[in-house]
Amino acid sequence: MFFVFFHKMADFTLELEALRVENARLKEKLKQHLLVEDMLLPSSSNLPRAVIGMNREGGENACPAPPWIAGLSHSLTAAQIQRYSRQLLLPSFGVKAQENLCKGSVLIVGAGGLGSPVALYLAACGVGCIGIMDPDRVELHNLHRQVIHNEASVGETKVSSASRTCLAINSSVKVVEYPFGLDARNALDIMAQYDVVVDASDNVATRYLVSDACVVANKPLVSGAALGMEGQLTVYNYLKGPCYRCLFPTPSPQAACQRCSDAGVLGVVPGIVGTFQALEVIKVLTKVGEPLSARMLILDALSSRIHTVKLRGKNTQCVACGELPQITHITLPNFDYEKFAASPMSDGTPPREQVVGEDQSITCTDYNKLVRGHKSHVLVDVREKHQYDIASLPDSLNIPYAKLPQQLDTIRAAAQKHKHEGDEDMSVYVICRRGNDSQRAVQDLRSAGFNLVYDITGGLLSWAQDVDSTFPAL
Amino acid sequence: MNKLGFRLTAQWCLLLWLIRPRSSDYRISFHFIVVRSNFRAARLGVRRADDMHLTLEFGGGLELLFGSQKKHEVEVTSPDDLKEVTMESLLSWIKDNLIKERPEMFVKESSVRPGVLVLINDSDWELCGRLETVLEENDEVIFISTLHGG
Ligand SMILES: [Zn+2]
Repeated sequence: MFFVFFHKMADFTLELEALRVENARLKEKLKQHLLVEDMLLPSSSNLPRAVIGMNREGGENACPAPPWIAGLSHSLTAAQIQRYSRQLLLPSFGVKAQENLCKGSVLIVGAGGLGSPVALYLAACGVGCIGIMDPDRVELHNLHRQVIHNEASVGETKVSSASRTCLAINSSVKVVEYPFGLDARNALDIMAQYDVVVDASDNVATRYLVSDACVVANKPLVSGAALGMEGQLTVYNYLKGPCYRCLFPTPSPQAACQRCSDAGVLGVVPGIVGTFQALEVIKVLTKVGEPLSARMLILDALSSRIHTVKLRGKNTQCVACGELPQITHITLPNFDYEKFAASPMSDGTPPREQVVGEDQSITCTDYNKLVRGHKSHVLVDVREKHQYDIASLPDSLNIPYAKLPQQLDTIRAAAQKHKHEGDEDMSVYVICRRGNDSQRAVQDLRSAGFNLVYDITGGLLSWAQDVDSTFPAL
Repeated sequence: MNKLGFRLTAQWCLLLWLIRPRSSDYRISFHFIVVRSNFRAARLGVRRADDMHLTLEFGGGLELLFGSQKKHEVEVTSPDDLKEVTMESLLSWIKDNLIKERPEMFVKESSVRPGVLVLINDSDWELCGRLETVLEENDEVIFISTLHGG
C-alpha cells in the first residue's frame, strides 16, 4: 500500500517536470514568433509606417527564402501566408483561392456608401489591384455611411481618401485612382484592365452605362443599390445570367427615382449591401461558391429580412447582351446615357425651375427685410413634417404640400388671426426646401382664391446661403 | 369556422328562435339567421368560395403608393366570378381596390410601369408567363421598384 503511494508520487513528479520543460520551450517559441510578426506587420498604432511599411513589390523577398518555400506548389510568400492565414485555413477557400485574389483586379465605380465597404474588404482580403472611380469630394454628410473616409478627408477627392485608407489596411495591394466619373467614352478602355466591375454608383444613367460596358467588355458586374431602409444586390453578365437591360429594358420614369439626397438612407444599409458586394466579388474572382447570378438579394432592414429571389436568364432580344446586340464597342461610346435615362450622371439635385412669375415671388433677402420690419404675414412651410422637424423658420405654419388642399381653412384662419383693424388682405408666403414645391403651392393657392400669395425663391437652401449661414442647409 | 364563431352563431340562432314571430313571415326570420351567420363567418376570416387569399408585398418605394404599408393580406375576387385570377386581373384589382395614390407610378397600360420587378412565389414573373400567370390560393406576389442609390 505504502509502496504504491510512493510509486504514484514519483510518477507525478516526473510528469510535472516534463510539463515545465515543455512550457519553457513553448514560451520561447512564442517569443520568436511574436518577433517575426513585429517585423512583418507594423503595429496599427503607427499608421504612416503601415502605409510605407511593406514594400509593394514584395520587399519581404529581400531576405533569402526559407528552405520550406522551395517545395511549395503555390506562389504565396511568407508574409502573404501570415497575413491571410485565417482565410487560408478555410477548407473551402485555401491557397488556390488566395492566389486568385492576389492576382485579381477589380474596378469599383463609386466610392460612396456602397463603394466604401467594397474597397475596405477587397483591400483587406488581398485583391491585387483595386481601381476606384468617383468624381466627388468628401463632404461632412457623407461620413455617416461612407466609412472609408474620415473627418480629415473632408474636402479631399473621394478616390484619394479611399485609396489612403485601403493602403493603410494593406500596403501590399495596388490602388489606382480615377478622380472622375465613368462616361461612355472612357468606360471600355478602363474596364478592359480589370477582371470584375462593381457598380456602387448612385444614379440610373451610370447604372445603364456600367452594365452595357460590362457586356461589351465581357466583365462580370457585381451590382448593388441602397436607399432608405432597403437594399438590392445581384451579379449581372455572369455566365448565362441576365444583364441590367434584360431586367429593365426601359428606364423607370424620373419621378420614380428617389435619390439618397432627397429620400435619405440609414448608413448601415449600404454598408450591408456593399459588404455583400465584396463577398460576391471574392466568389467570382476565386470561383468559390455560387455567385448571385440570375438571382437577386433583397434586404429589408426594417423587418430584418433578407430575401433571395430567382430572376429570368439572358434575354435573347436584349439590345445589349442578346443575339443581335445594338450596343457594341462602336456604338457605346456615342450612346447618350443621360438622355436615355432622362436623368444626370450624378446624385445631384436637378436645377430649380422657375414656374411662377416674378410678381408672385420674393427673394430670401427681401423676405428677411420684411420680417425685420415686423410686417404681419403668414409663412407656410410646405415640406414633409419629418423634414420640418429638423429645422424651420420661426412662426411658420407646416402644411405638407400633399395635404394642402385639405388645409386651406387653416391658412385662412391664420391670416384672419394676424389681421389688424383696417388691414388689407393678409399676405401669405410659401417656403420649402429648394423652392419647387413652394411654387406649385403658390399656384394651387392662387387658384383656390388666395390673391396675395408669394413664393420665397430658392427655399431654405437659399435662406441658408443668402441670409442665415447658421441655418442647417440639408 | 372556429369554435367561438360557432358558439356565437348558435347563441344568435337560439335568441332568434326565442323571439321568432309566431306568424306567417316565419321564413323571413330564418333567412335573417342565414345572412347573419354568413356575415359573422366573413368577419372571422372564413371566405366565400370565389375569393382567393393572396399575400402582396410592395418594396423599393412602391409601398408609398399603398399607405406606406409593405405587406398586404388580401382576398381577391376574379372580375367575372367564374374565371381564375390572373396577374392581369390582379393588377386591375390592385388599381381599383388597394392603391392609395398616383396609380401611374405603379401601372402602365395593362402591365406594371418600367423599373418594377414582379416576383410570384420568389420567382421572376418572366419565368411563369407574366400577365397570363394564373394565381393560386395563398400565392405570394412581390412588386419591387429597382433602387439606384448608393
Ligand atoms: Zn441583356
